[in-house]
Amino acid sequence: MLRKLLKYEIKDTARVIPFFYLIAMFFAVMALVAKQLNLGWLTGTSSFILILVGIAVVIITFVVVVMRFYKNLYSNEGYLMFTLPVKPQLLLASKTIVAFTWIVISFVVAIVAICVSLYGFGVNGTMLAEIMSEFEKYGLEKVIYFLIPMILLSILYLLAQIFFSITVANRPAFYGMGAASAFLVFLATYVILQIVQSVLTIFVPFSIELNLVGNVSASLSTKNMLGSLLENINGLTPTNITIGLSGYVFVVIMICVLFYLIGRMMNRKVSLR
Amino acid sequence: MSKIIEISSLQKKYGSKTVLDNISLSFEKGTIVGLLGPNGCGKTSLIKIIAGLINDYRGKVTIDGNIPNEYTKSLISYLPEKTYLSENNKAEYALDFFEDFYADFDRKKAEEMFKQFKLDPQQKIKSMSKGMQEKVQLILVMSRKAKVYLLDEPLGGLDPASRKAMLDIILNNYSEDSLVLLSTHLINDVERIFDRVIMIGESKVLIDDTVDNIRQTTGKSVEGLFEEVFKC
Repeated sequence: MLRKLLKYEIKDTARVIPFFYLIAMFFAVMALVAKQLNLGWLTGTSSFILILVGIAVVIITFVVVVMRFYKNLYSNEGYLMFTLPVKPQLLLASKTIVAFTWIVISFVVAIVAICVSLYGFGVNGTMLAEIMSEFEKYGLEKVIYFLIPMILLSILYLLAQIFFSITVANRPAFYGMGAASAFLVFLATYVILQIVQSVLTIFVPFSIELNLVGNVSASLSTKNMLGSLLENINGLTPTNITIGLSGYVFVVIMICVLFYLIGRMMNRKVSLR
Repeated sequence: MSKIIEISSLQKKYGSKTVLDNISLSFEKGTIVGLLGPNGCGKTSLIKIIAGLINDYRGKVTIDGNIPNEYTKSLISYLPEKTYLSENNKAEYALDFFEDFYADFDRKKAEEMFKQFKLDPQQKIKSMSKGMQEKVQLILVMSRKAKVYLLDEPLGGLDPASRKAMLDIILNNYSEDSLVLLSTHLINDVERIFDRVIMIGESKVLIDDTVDNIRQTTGKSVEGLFEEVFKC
């Protein structure tokens, strides 16, 4: 059944999102062709528009997948979806997988669009190579391996919070608050989770320590992040950086908790209007 | 006849308002049951509970021996009072969807009914009139060989000619060993098809009897009795 749900989820979302990829592609081609033909004003204009389109692609993708989640499950269409002979958790899984995939693709499109724009504005490969060599000088080129999973985790975390807010807002207790309820629940959830995450990141003595002297080396540590932060605040030149890891562990746990709660509410507590 | 739905001591509240209070009912296969009552009396809530759309209730509800779950959903063909089809899609998309998700969906039968009612599967749902949308939904629902058909106000907002067509769809496609539970305000139009009627008011079951018994004991039609029970 999950395969069938995924099929319809992709079909329905594929009507809008790829259209914006085509727009991005159009301006990318225009910028590249204009650059080749040395049409300065056209290169500049199309590169500028391309940056805007790149940003818009990510925002629009978020809006589309969030609207789809709400409309397909909690508006009139929910009467069909929640009476399908499938576990509500499968509905959630299909929406999350497809939403996550689209957002990742959109991020890639946005990054490519921005790279083409920068090329259009005259940033060439040599400049990028110089930046990379600076990273490599300190042994930080491997940071990218941490950065990618962190971005993917953040996307999933944000999706979990949004889906959770929409699901909570569609419980009978929130009917009186109308459309604002989902936004208010999201705001409250986001602020609370951010505070908890920050406190855990700074104060819990579980961290990764980056030694900045010589070739950068990293090791797990039982220090908390507070000392490193105070050194920065006092303007001292740190010899090492401590990055609290508890916040990230909290994020992973909260993603699981939020999706579990959404599934449970979809199964037992949601009451369609 | 065997019981397909059993409800005991059902209570449903919305905040402090009780819409269903200690309701116990059972439904047998092979019957068409009318669920009647004024607005807000709990008809739709009862149907939604059976369909598995409302889960926060007290009491026990079983369908074919199971509490509402994905198995019972496979037995129930549900028509809500709202249009639940995606407006941006063509009717054909809905046919594909039903065929994919319901093993008991008879696509050929649905396509024949589309032709019979001059409906174009290539037409988008949003470009159809309300009557056409309701016909499409009813065709989809009645093209399943379900054990239970839950029809919530299938005639609401339709002109008399369309109402007759809708009733024909129900009657011609209703299988002998299924239960049809139909809620409506338009009693006069559908009274002839009911085997049994249940009138709900003030959160309770006020009347639960066969149509023949009602006529014999009260000397009134179902509509006449309804007007008497719910007199303002």
